[in-house]
Amino acid sequence: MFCYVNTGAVTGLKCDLIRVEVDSSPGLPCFQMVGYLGSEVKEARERVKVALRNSGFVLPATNLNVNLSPANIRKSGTSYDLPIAVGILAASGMIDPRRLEDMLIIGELGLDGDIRHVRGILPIVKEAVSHGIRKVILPISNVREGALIPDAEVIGASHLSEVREYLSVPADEQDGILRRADHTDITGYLQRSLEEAPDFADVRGQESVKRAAMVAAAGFHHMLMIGPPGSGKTMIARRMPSILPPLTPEEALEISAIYSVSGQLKEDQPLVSFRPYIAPHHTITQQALAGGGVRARPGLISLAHRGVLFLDEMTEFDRSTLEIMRQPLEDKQIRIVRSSGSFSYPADFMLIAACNPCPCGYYPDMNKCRCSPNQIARYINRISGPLLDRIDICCEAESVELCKLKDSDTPSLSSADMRAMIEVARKRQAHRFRDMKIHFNAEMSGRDTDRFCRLGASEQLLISSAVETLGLSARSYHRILKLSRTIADLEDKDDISEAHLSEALFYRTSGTGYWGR
Amino acid sequence: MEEILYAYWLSNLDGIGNKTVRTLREYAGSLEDIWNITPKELDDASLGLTQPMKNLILTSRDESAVKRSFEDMLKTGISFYHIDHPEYPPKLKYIYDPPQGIYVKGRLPDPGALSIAIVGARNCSEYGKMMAAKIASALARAGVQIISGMARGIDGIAQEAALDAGGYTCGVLGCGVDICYPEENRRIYDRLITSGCLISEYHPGVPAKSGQFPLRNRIISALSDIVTVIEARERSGSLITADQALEQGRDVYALPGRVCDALSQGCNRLIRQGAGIILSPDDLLKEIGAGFIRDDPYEDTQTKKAEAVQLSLSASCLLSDDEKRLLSVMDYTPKSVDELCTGSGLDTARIYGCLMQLSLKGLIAQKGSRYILTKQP
Repeated sequence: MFCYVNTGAVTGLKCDLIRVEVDSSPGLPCFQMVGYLGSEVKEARERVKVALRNSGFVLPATNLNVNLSPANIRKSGTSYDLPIAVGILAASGMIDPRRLEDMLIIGELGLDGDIRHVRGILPIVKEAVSHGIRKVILPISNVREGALIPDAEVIGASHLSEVREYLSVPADEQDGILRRADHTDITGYLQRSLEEAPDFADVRGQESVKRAAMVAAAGFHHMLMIGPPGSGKTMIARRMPSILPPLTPEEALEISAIYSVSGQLKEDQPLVSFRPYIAPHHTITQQALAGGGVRARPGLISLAHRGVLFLDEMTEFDRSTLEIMRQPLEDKQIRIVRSSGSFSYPADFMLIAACNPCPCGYYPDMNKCRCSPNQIARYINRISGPLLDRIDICCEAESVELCKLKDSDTPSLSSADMRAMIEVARKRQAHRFRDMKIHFNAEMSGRDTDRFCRLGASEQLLISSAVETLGLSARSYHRILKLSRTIADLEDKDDISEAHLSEALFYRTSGTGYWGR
Repeated sequence: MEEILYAYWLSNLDGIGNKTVRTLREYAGSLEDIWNITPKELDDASLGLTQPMKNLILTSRDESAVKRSFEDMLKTGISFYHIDHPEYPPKLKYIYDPPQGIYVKGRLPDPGALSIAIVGARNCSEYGKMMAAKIASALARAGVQIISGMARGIDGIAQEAALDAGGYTCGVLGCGVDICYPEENRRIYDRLITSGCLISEYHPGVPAKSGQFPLRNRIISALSDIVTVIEARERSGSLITADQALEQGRDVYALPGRVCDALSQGCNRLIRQGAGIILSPDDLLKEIGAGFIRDDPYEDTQTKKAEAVQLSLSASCLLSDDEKRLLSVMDYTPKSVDELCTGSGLDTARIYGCLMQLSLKGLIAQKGSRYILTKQP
């Protein structure tokens, strides 16, 4: 007898629906599997055999053939165990095959018949729903994740025998065996997470860096902080997500899908509810940052999608590792080609970088720093020019005096204050780009810049003289304009003033003392 | 063969230094006698020559090769003066360890004119940079020849300022005069060839080595009448120059700094030990006596002062209240935006506009992410 079970496969972030076809026909008793299988999927045969036996079913003494179709997609992962087992049960007459037609089944089996957690549930369930398959049976630990998708009827199961029983009783008795899970409340998750974040109010002093951080967050500009050890660079970066706008449900699902594919969604945390903050150590490899591997997985730049990628001690990173980010910084996604296919992952992150000004860390404090100008130049030049060129804001974090740290009376901008100001800039941008595909000033093209960043006569004069004396490139010129647009937005102004332009110029040029350009 | 060729031959032998040449001369008598020295004489223990040195002397005696090499060198614009040459700088001749020969690119300093060395730290502060340029420029305009080492930092800045002021300046190198070290001072190097000079006791092609720099310091101090130290840490190369200046009987002046600045500690220590204090370029010029001075710099500075007052008056009228407040907290040490905010009470949103306006008016300058006062308002 022939029957099939629907399941899903993830390649990159792309999902394909897979049919597990099972045929049981008379002949020499054997069990074969085909369909471009990875080694984990080949092993499924043994797991399924034992799990069925231990759950009280006897494999029929027939010629069993399993095909995972379409057979030209590489299958990997352990999520095919359950659909194969259910398919065999159906092919041997223990389940009515017709009941499987409008249903998707996914899960890993233990030898005792237990159903275990798998990766990539979120995109698979989403794909199934878009194909009109709304009923999904998945491991109980994946239920809350699957229930994030609106319209999905998610049923969690913990043992193979439960699934069999569920599928063999009449439809009106099914609820007594396995219940349909409630839809996970996304907005509730998103609201709760806001309160837990570290607050900018903890950062004392560093007002100019906090201001720069606010500008960066308002327009999604990349930022580099240069400063001596212990000046609070990491502290500031850690707080960046708290001033970015809260995730929208769509964004939360988009990010969660990436985390789901890389196996980072936990049972108790089925949704990424906070803007990601990814801070890799500087020894990170190219593959870990960009993604890839034999079985391609998203890299850290994709896990930082719509959030913050913080590179602490940026000068210590391997140069070729840093260079990888050049293309994603422009395209907002990364394309990886491996022998198993080409994958593209989203990578629209805000780059926050920090480094010391020189090998000893104390330049330009001449009392502490004994580094030669050559050493300083060599140190900062470990970051390539093209990469620096993509970073709009450069600011210097100074070592803070102890008295300032202790003095709790001095008012310190809190995340809530900053969010309020940023919200103003957000609204203006949302209005400005309402008919366009972009959301932030930093994403404006040259044409958009000309359209939205008109300058008055005196401002034009100021920037022309700056371009001339500083020898700025055309790209820098546009970046300064975009930056000053954000600064003007923060103050809720229609026109870019000389003050806004001056601030943008400062952010763009203040690093020149270090890399002499 | 001419005497100069013998001297040229000797100074081109790698491994045979200034001291060995002097010992050889004392032993043999004249340069020609060294050329004609016998292997047996070379073995004399009092010379203390090693076997490779002896071999080098004996095998390199090829008259036509020496002549050819000398002429080739002249063609590249480099001249050579041995210690007995009439054009050899007299100030250099009578020190403890005079170079037996010097290579020169450009025009040698006028022995009759006043020469002042300006030396200091390579890794200097903004204060040091500003003062070095100011002093060098004022001295150069007064007709003083500026001697220095064309190094990074104070040396290069002083020489460039002297060149900009249209003065004469001489760079003493620790490598061959055909090599520009450090490479970043290429601009100064090129200008020195045309409107100053480069001097070295090392033959062309000798690369820069750390041991050669303290030695060239003795030439810097010897060529000058006065040595000024702008910025120096405790135990720095500039203090070696000052020490040698004292041994050679030259006056030493130092620019005072704040006692907490590591870069001024060497200078302050010199002052403590009795060096002259530089209060201003004019003060220094007056101190060393107007007899040397070609133009009257005093009158010149008076008119400039009047101009400056005029300028500052017109500028301050145009300053906004915020700008005036900001200006009042700035000085000649670079200050960060945070410091300026705290000092002036301006917030971070307003301060950048004011800073830009003041920069455009030329009252302050941006140094990286910090700001420094450039003119007294």
